[in-house]
Amino acid sequence: MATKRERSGPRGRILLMQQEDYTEVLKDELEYCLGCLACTSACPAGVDYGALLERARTKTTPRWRRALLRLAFGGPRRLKLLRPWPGVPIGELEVPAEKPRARVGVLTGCVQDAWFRNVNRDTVDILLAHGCEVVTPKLQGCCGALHAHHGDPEFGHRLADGVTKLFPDVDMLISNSAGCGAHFKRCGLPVRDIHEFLADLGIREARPSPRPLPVTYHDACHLAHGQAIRKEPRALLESIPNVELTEMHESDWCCGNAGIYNLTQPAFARELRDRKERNIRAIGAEIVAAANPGCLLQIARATPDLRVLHPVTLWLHACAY
Amino acid sequence: MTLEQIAELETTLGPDRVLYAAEDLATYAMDATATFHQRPACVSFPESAQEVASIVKWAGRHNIPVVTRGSGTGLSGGAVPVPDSLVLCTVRMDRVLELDATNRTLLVEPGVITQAIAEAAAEAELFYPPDPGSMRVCTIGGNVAENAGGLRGLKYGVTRDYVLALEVVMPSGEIAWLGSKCVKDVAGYSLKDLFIGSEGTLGVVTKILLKLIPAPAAKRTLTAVFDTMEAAAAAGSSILAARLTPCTMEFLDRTTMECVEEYAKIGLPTDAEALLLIECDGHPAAVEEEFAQVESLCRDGGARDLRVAQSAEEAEQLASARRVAFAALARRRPTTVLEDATVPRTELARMVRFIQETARKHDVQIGTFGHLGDGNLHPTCLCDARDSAEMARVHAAFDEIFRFALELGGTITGEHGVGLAKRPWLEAAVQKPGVQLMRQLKSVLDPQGILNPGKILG
Repeated sequence: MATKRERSGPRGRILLMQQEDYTEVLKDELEYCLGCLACTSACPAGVDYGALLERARTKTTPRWRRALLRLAFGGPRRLKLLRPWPGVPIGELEVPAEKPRARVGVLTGCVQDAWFRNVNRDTVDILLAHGCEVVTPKLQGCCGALHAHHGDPEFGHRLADGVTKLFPDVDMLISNSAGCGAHFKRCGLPVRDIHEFLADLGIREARPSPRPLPVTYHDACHLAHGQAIRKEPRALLESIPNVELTEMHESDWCCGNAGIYNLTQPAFARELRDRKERNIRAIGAEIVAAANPGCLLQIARATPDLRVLHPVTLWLHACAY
Repeated sequence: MTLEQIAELETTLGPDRVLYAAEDLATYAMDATATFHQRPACVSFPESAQEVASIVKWAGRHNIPVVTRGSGTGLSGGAVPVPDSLVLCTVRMDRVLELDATNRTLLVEPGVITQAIAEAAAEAELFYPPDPGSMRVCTIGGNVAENAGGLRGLKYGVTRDYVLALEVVMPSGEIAWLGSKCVKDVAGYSLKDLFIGSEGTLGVVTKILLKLIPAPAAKRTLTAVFDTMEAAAAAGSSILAARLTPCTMEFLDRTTMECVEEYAKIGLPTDAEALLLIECDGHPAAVEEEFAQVESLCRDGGARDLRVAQSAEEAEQLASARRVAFAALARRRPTTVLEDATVPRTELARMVRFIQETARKHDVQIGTFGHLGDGNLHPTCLCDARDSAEMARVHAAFDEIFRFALELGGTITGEHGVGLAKRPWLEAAVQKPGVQLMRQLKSVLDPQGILNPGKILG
């Protein structure tokens, strides 16, 4: 769309992937590709572009980047450097006030746990509020999505596998991060997104907000396109009395964060961020809800004057706004 | 083509609008027809009629063939490059120039996406009816080049019926304005009609003046399942015989229904031979009356599982069973060959039966869906282009299908064009005098044979 060239669209990129030699042009295009998977939502023929992209990137991602990602995100203890101070405590086992309806494990993620620990706390709390027993091992580490998206899918798969093995016997593992949840599912591991899990259980009504709250919901790429989850987060938001959920234009357009895209393609990341900001402001929302740490970071940068938070956070704390 | 020649183009257009890297050429080597690949030597992106004229003159000077392309969604190979050619890609000529609500016209550039035209019209409460299946991706320029149809063809006609005027760059490089904004205009031959459907072989269209009509106020939608194709076709005929004209009357055969159900899982029966999608639109009172009659004629005709949409959302869902047909079929095998043999509507059931028998005879998988109301069928073969033995059988099957369609008084293409794919059958369809006349016209307008050589006429 941006360049109007065949090679910048999924059709052209797949054609290039089918060529014998992977040249600079393909490397370029695969760097430029957001990996937002909007094309897979649009394709009724069911082409799994995400898998094709991961495979092609094993040949085009520079080796130094793969090494750097392994170094930075390859071990849970290393990630403590992202946040050296202790965050809000989460017990390894927390029990609800009622007889437990299910026993679940919460995946804490890496960036989420370092910079959005409160989202993990809120995830545990919303599960407790829905009658679940919650198991949350400390020091889980990165799930490997970043590695899978940057030419190192085997390593990414190993990390995901390793994380799931940290959990004792649970009914289900829960993810509150779109990108991570999608990666676990792609690895064939038993993970549910928090919104779909709660929708299955039956979303309980939240404590009401004292005043009408204009909220808009941003569809994270790896929820809407990667996992076809759109209704459930909206249902969660609508279960909060006095929340006025308004749809923004292009709600499922990528915000531009796309993993480390801000670092690899800063100009286009900025364009997408600005576009998202225009769409948010056009409907006059006060609160933007998004279910992925990368999106939360990007949108908070785009609209620093607005509240930008995870739907579970709003569900728990709207009563105090 | 030489680098000096490409350099000339770059000087005229600017380097960012001329592509010649191997990978770029590879991505323009095909359209949506499964089996044709040919890399061009160069791809260009003009942004004005003047630039198109420069390109065409450049091509004439150097005797280089020019293949015009929009979004590359064509189904007959019309935009597939020829060897050592220049692709003239219109996607950067994508402006809506003028909406004249009082005169009910819309002036656009050829690279505007058809969906955008429908939306621009809707903003003024007007309506652009032609709705080709690919309208979210295809360009209006491509629609004009092929005289594209769509699901609403039965009631509203085709692209040609909505083109008031064209600005065309001739093979000589001259820019001509053909037609006018007037409702009536008979000054001279109706030249614009020559260019509509000419598949890029007579000129390059650089502006299109479209006619819009008032948007229908209401629409009702139903789907009906029939045990046999004959019963479905008879129901369709009875509706037309009752002097009713639904805006859409579409069908899916059993194979297509199976594929749609596999993909969309909407509860379509797997033991029925036909599904009909019927929509009536217009003034609310008229629609209610018409629709009630349509419903009762379907029931009388033996329809089971009749689903009547009660809301706009439901209507979308029902219609989607038909709109995803092509894509749902495409999921089964790696290659999908979509054709559009057309017969007078009275012969439709017979044609569908023949297609099914022919598919069995040649051991190929064909699902048929299409426009029941106007006899335009889409026999769709699910195959694998890498299996040359299978592709030979596919060709043989379609040969029989086209010839039978012609026997029934039909044609080889209702809306997709001849392009490359149907060249072998053109003479059988239009006869020698017709072909000769086309060759004469082509040689007069394009003596050098610069524009899209080898398409339509071999």
